[in-house]
Amino acid sequence: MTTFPSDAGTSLDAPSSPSRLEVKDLQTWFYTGRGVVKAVDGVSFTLEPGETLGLVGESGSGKSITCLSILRLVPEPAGRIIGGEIWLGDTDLLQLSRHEMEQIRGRHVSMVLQDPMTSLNPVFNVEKQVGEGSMYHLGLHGSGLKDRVQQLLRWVRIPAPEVRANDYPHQMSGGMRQRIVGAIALSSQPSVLIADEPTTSLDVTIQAQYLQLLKDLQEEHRFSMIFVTHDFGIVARVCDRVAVMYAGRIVEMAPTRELFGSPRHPYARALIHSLPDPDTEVEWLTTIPGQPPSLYDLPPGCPFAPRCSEAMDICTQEYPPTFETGIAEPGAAGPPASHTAACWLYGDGSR
Amino acid sequence: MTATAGSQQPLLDVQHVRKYFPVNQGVLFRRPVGYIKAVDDVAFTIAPGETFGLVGESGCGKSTLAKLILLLEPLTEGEIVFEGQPLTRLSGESLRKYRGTVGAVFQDPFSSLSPRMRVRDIVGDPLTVTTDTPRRQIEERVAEVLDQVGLNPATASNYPHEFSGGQRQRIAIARALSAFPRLVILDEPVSALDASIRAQIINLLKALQQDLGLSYLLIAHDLGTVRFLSDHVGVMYLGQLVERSTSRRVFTNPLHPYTRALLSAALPVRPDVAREEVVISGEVPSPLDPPSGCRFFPRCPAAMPVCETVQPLLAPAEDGHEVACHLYPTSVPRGATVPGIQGGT
Repeated sequence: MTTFPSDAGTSLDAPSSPSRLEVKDLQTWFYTGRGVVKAVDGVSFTLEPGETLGLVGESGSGKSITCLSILRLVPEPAGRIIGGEIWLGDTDLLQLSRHEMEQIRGRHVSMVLQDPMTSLNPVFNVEKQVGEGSMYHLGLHGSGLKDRVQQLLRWVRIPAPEVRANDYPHQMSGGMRQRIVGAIALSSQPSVLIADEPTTSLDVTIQAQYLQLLKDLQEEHRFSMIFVTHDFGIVARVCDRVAVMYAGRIVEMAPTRELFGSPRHPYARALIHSLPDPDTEVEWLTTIPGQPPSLYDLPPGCPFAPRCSEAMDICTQEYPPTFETGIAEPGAAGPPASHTAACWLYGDGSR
Repeated sequence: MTATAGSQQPLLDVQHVRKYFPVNQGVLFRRPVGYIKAVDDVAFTIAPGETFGLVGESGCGKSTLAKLILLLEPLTEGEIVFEGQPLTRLSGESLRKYRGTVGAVFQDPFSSLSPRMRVRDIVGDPLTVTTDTPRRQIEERVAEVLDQVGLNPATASNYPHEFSGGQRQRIAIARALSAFPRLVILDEPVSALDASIRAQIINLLKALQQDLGLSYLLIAHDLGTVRFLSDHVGVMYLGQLVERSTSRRVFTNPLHPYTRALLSAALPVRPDVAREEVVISGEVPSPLDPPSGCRFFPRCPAAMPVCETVQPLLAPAEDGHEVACHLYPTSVPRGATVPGIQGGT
């Protein structure tokens, strides 16, 4: 693991190690009675320190399983990571022992789940649940742990943390509960935070507050974030880059503005154009014909081909590799951006 | 789809409706210790062939209002008039007939369709219950509506689990349409569906409305859907309407601070559309003990001292665009003295 020079006052306030996360050709399959489900089939992406990557897709597209694979929490024995590499800094997480992985999970990579009603334990108070990570990973106890919990609660803007620490989850509102989950995820200053639809169960105005909080926390604590969502509006608000998933693969990846401005993959294009926009009036919405495919029997070739208006012969025969399609508007600053699409339409460009 | 002339009789007239749920306490002698004011003095009309969209956060009373119109809950106060007939006077055959004239589509097509009934029986059910249509005719009607919603009538003998989410929602729509309704209540009709399916269902709802001259009451939190389908929009907060106007006015020129926050929170579909970012603090207060005065004042970025004491009235602020907010002099109740603002007309 790369180490990061601590520039903050105490070691607790320093990020664990702002490492780069690189997922290479990840394959997570489920072996069920009905056959093999290739829930994630060849997913590759990198997450730079401090960056927010959006993983967007419909239910069953593999976005949640990708995240669970990074934490090695794929439900076994049905699910198995059968191939690929997941590099955090210079460690391949897939090569670690179970015990070594426990040192990573919650310490260097942590997760915020969708529903705070089910991700918090109703029989333990907030202090116990928020403090668990600091106790386990940072070895805190007694008054040090108590102080740490209150610090974490202040980070996530819980009013009166000394009182609230003794509350149980049911005494809090949905938005506050989700902030508690955020405090738990931050408790060991992870370098990667995975947020799996963290605002789906919240009301829109509370959702806006929560997204703002995540952005502020990211600025303060400099973690990188994988943001799983099916909502393009959230992507537009919080993500630097977006990966669009369909049937277990990433079909398009680009900086956020670039993706919305000139989507390349016909699926991404159709999806963005089919969204009803509160800012404009149209007579009819653009629709995508058909339905998402069943992962039990994916068609050969590109799984979107049966619904695609631009499908060619090759699309039904061979899965397209990922092509670099070039940036439409080169950004002024930052690393050279890339805009990739897994679609034969871009096949004659350079690989 | 344009709003009909004001002189025409509305199809549905919701008149100052209230619905209070008692909160009981005590073991032996249970008595109400308070009331949850789920719907508190709400009024609006829906013209024939038009869509009224209701937006607001969970717990603001949208779905309770739908239940009142469907007569699934009794009113506490007020009246709902359908085609000139007050609903509280309906009984026997007229009540049975009314239940056929109002259809409903709910959010989750996985729980709103009985897994033990065949599609034919699900879709034909409203006809069986509200009319004396002979069986053969019901089957013809089922085939007809299945065709209208884009399903193959040959699938009528299948069970719901054999269909995908989008197809199930089509079945739910077919059921709502089978008894020739005039009004259909759409309670979050697409929020449980996958993104690539939503547009299909939204377009279908609009096409059906045009073909059949239906009126819709649309309850949704996705503002894009509301803007696309609705002619008029009402914004609810804690059991009350705070703004009401045509869809275009509400979306292009929101007057109430809550509406502005809601539109801002709704997230732009495209990042290049600049939006005023209004993040309001706090959470929705309990409807058991709503704030005095304007119910939004504890969270309102524009709150004034008057907001804490005087409840603003929903009144037209600028040509027909109604808002309940003290920023607009028309909302000040007659007789109330507000420093700097004269009592409204």
